[in-house]
Amino acid sequence: MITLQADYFDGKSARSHAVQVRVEGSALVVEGANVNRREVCKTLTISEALGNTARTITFPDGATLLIKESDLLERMLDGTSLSSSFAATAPNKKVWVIASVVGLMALVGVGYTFGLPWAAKSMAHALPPKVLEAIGDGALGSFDSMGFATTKLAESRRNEIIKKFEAMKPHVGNTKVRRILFRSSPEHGANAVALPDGTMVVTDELVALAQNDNQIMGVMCHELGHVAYRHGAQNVVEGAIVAAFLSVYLGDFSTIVTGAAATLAVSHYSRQSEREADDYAIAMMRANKLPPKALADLLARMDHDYRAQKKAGKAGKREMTDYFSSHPGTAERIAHIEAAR
Amino acid sequence: MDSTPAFPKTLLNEPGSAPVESAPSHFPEERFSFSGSGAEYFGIWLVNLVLTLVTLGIYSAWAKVRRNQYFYSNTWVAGANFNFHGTPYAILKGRAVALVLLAAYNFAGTLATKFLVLAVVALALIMPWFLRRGLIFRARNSSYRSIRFRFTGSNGNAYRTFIVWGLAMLVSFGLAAPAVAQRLRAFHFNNLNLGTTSFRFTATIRQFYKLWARTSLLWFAAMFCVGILVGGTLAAIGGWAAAAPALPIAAILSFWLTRAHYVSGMQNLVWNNMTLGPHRFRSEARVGPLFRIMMKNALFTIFTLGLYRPYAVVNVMKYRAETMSLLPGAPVDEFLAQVEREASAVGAETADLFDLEISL
Repeated sequence: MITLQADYFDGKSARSHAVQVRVEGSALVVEGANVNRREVCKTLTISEALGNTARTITFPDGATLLIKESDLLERMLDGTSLSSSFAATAPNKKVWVIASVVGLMALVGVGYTFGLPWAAKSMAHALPPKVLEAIGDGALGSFDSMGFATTKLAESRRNEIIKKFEAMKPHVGNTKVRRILFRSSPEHGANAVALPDGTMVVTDELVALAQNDNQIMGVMCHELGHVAYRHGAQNVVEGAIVAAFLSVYLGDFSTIVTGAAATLAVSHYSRQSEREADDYAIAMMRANKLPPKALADLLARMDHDYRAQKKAGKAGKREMTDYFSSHPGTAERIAHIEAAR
Repeated sequence: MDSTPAFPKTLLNEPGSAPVESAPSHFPEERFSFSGSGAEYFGIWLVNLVLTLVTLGIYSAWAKVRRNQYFYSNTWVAGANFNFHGTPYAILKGRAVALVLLAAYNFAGTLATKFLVLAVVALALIMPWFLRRGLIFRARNSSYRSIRFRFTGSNGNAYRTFIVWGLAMLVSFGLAAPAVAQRLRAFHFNNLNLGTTSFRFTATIRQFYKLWARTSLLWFAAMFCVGILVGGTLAAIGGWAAAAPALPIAAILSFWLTRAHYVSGMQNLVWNNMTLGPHRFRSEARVGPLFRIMMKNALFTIFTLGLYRPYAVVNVMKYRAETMSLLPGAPVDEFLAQVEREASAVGAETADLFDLEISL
């Protein structure tokens, strides 16, 4: 039979009493110079096993036993109602710790690849318009401080483009742009961006680069696809989920690290999102009797223009924010659109 | 989830001034010690993390209990350890309430700006109540030698402290921060008891401003020395391209150095100016060792993609516990218990979620 040395505290004063503890049947027996107790195990509570941490057994009246040998105590209590739960003993067993590391990596891998896009998609579609508008307004604000200046296009030209686009029927449902804005940005070049709330921003440079209005309509249809499928909102939700995970994982380590990592993890549209938006554009252009090839042509022009500028060393500053880093796989996309003709 | 354990926040924390002169008693000094290890806590942290992820966060309440128990139970002074008694159900209930409040707050924000203003005002009005509940919960669920801690601050006092000083903070553009920090700690510790024995907190607002001033000076000095001197030397040798990397490095080093100074200073300031009945404390945390520990923690945590984190937490806990002593003015086993009603966890959890927990 196992007998353990322990410190007994009566719950009324901080004085410690050296005692001996043993199990007899379903009862715990405590004996010392001034202490003589026998309590049914079921009435006692015990602190969880946490490595070699000292354990505390608490009596119903608030008295406690402090026992330093956790392993020995576990053996003594085996079979009584006080023996440990799985979660408490798992960290003490190497095999469970290793299994947890592997499990954690698998969980994160699978979660990031499949769970995250799925959850983000469902949540993005559930977001109320008010929330999307708040996100859109916020994004627009930061845009204007990032090298997007007031447009230099004539008002008549702007209205012409807006009217043309608004006359087109959307592909699915009644997805509408909330507003179409023009911005001048030599820094970012030919570009078009759709914000989660349906705000569309088109650069003067894109209008200038296009050979005809069909090409402009093509890019705008593509951007409307991002809005219809809520790709932007999806990115925002994914960022929030990644940030939440990182803050659980890293604790209070640093909110800056968390925020930065979350942004890096989700700042680009995925290739799949691009494909969806392209398919949306193809369908919408066909429905409105425009040739989808116009979109492919403009993409090719933008790509060519970008490469030329890069070669000339002018594109250095654009790397992180330009159309091609936020819209991946251009060659593949052009081929796909042309095949759809 | 894995924020610094609540125990250190309640009992071990912060800082500053010179150590108290030796105790005028014939009882020997009792050093605090921490018996936990990084490897041991790694297992606990990992199992907590996996179960929390698998249960979509529900397990985090159990995780918090186990984490607190680990840190409390491994902190020793005068031959006995501390204990945490909070239950997962109490914490879970608190989290549910916190979540509802947070949702209401966010919802109000999406409706209209005037609702957001209302929500902020409502929040300011209920926050002191929650913070006080949180302090009661934490004290009630902490014990030493079977004697529970008790928090006896009144609602009136909580509202006075938080609202008056919160406004002072706004009006002064943050310059009142050191004074507010002192007032919050005074509210906490001057209402904290171990059984029937009371804590008294005597650090002054002036001492808090001194610590803030020294910390700010250190930051400027560190930025200047590392940035200008090291950066300048590199620029002289290899041109500006070689000097550019020196600036982020200067910023990071200065940040950790400043943090080490603040954390150790605050620990010393609080504990060297605290009494518990006839007992006093001595805290001798130093900037150098803490800085080395923090740098090592940061580097290892980055290189192991976060897996070093539990070791890092233990390293800091160990250092902070081991730089503290109790200077008994009477036999330590004379603390007496006092019967008290149960406290709910709602306050502590809401404060956690809103990140307004006054951590001392």
